[in-house]
Amino acid sequence: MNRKRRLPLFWTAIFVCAAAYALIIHGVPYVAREVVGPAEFELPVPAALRLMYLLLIVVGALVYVSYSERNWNEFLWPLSSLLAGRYGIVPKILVMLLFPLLLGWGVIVSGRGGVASPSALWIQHPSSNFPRQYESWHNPLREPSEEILEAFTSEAKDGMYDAIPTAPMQAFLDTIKSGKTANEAVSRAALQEKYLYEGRILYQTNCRPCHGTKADGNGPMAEGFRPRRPINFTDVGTIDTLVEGYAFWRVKTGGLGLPTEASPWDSAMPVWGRQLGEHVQDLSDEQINKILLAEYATARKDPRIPE
Amino acid sequence: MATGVSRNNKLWGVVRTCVIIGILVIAPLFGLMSAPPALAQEVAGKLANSPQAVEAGRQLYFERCSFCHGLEGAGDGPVAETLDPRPRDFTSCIYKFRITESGELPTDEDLLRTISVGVHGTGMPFWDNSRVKTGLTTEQRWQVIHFIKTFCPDFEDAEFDPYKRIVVDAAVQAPEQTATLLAAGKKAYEEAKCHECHGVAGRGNGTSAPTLKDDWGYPLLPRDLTKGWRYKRGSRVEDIYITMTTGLNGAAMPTYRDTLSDEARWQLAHYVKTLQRERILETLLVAKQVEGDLPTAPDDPRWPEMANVIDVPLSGQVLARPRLQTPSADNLRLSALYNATHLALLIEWHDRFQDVEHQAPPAEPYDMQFTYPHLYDEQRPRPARYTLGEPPQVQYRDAVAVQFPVQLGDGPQKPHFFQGDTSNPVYVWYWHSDGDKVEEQNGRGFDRPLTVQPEANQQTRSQATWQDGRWRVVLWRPLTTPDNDDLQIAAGRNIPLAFSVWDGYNGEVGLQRSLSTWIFLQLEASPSSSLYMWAVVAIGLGIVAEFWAAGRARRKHSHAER
Repeated sequence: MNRKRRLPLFWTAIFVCAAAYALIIHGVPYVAREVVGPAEFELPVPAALRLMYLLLIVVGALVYVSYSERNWNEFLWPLSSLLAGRYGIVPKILVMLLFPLLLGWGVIVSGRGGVASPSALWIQHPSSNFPRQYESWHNPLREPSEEILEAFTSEAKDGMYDAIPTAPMQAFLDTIKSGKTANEAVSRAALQEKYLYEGRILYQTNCRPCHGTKADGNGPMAEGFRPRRPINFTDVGTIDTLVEGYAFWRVKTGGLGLPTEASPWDSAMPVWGRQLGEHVQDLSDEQINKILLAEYATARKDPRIPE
Repeated sequence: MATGVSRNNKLWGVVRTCVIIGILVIAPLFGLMSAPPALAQEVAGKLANSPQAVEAGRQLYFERCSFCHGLEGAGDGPVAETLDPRPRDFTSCIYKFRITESGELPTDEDLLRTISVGVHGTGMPFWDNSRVKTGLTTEQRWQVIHFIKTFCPDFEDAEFDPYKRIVVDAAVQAPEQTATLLAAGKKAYEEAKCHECHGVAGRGNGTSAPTLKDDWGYPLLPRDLTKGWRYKRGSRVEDIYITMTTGLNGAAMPTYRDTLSDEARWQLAHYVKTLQRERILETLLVAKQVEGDLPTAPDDPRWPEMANVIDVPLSGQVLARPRLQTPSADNLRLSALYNATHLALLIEWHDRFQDVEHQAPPAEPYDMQFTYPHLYDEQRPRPARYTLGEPPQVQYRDAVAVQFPVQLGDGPQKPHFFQGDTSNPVYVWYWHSDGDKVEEQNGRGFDRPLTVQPEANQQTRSQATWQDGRWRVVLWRPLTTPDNDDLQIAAGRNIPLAFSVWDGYNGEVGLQRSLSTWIFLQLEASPSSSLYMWAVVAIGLGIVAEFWAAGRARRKHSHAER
């Protein structure tokens, strides 16, 4: 009646389900760790996804074992053999005793209600209320005008930037201080160094307490903000997958500017564009632009190019 | 199968089953593969000092260190004025974390350790890049070290060679902890007068605490020894022993190498380690139901006996001006109990000084001018924490606030944890130390003042004690009240809770405080009796189902056998 299999279908099905599930639970974090590189946190598969995968696997297995009458009978064979007493009277009695007790216990546990923290909403890149004008926004400091460049050059001639030791700045200063005119590429590179210098000071003063000196989300104030810990900018999938305008919008409108599906009520991100007076913002737009330059540089990332 | 299962097949079936079960058990062990990588413990080959190393170090220092430590290494970078403790002044040649004698320079390996591991509880991060990509490689760390040493000419002077003054092995191992060792350590703690700075229970509230200064004249507070996560060098017994042996240059912690024997220092280190308290960082607290009256005194023994406890970490209020990233309280301990009519919360936090004097804060605090306060700004009105020997210019009381939403929603939506928002109000129990009084208030956002409920609607009561560096406050209220502006409390639901703590000594008032995000409180509901009935029904149905299945199975198999 049944084909001779090396393994009964019942156990094959269970083994395949368990192995596939184990592969997802453990294999995915392992591969993710290889891709992401060293970090202090684990990368577990989220609980909702685990449930989804488990359901998919079980439904798939069920479809397979039930697609023919023969398969179905073969699948049920060990179970029905047990109930018919073919493996002995003791296993049969054990299973028939445990099954209803398990059902009763399951009812009590589920009815008692879990005493568990409720889950929180989170979306990687909430954008349902992302203003369109920021999609193609370019940081003006990355392409400063001629006037700004000229003003910078005359300031540099007066020695204002002598303390910046990086190569692009020093090359520029050497050129202009010996009376020559620096070419545009050299001047712009030096101006970027100036912006980076100022931006780093602003970032380290204002953002470091939460986002950390190394832009890794490990600032001294990070511990108290749960479950929405300050973002780790070195993580793949944060600022490197976003256009710079998105980051500008996030900094300016803060946690309260998030859409509902991103749990704004749990977010500690300050509204840095908050008006404090007629002409005063917590951080001005120019300061935010400098901070973005420094933030990307500190995290060693580049923003995504707008379409 | 034409005939019955043969004996051989049965045995093979059992073996197969065992193999399958074995694999199912071993598969989860592969979870070890996804564990985070171990921290790089070894010091890779040391980079020799050279002009190239110093120049590379200069570039790295400029990019990564100068905003705190200053372009000239004097600890006066632009960020320094917002930090407490301040960044190290390298030009002073004074270093805290060494294995050398008190007053001496550190070895190069000491500097590597400090840079790699960071200084816990301060603005100095860890730079070990095996933990985070944006750190520094070992070679880069050596380059920075060689550059930093150029700020202090003593490093070039053979007379001050730190390698000739090493007094402890960096990899020293602690002896085993025994009961006699701990008892001797406790005695040593008293005899060495550690309590004069660190307090009897180790909460940093000793009698000398208000007077301590560092070598630059900035005020210092002795470490709260119960908070292992805040020990600057580290919280292991070995770290404590090394600190005691070498002292912390420039700070008020002296060396005990000459006054205590090696054995005594180990005993003391073991004892101090036992002062550290583990935190229970759950986000849900279950309040147990109690028969009879609730305990309203903070030191009622029923609290530790009956109530669950969680720790709530607090951060400084860094969301809106006037900000505070140097708060006094970084942890709060919460217990809760309820009975048929009332809910009681016991809130504890460490506060070195009891502040009950209060003056009205200015409408526009000085710190509103900056994104972060410039702590030592001459113009800034000084609280007792920063008076540097002078009387304080502002005095505020200690306080704690427990915040709830006014309504519990069905979904996850809540008011913002920072005093709510315009569409979602919050309900606050605000307790303050002057008068041991609690007021019920409502708020609609941090940018407007909280409204105090009228006297007739104040149902919450309080009882508080401050002792040996710790506040303990019990707040209790009837579960239901007739006010629409109060949260009505019921069992079986997750109730969001958030906290704020003010320490007057640190100048904390208004928006300048420690705060937490939402955690959850659930009043434990006993399951209704109908649940047990349903369980019995489920058992009955299960029995019916399995007998039916067994009957079918028997029929199928006897049919197959014929």
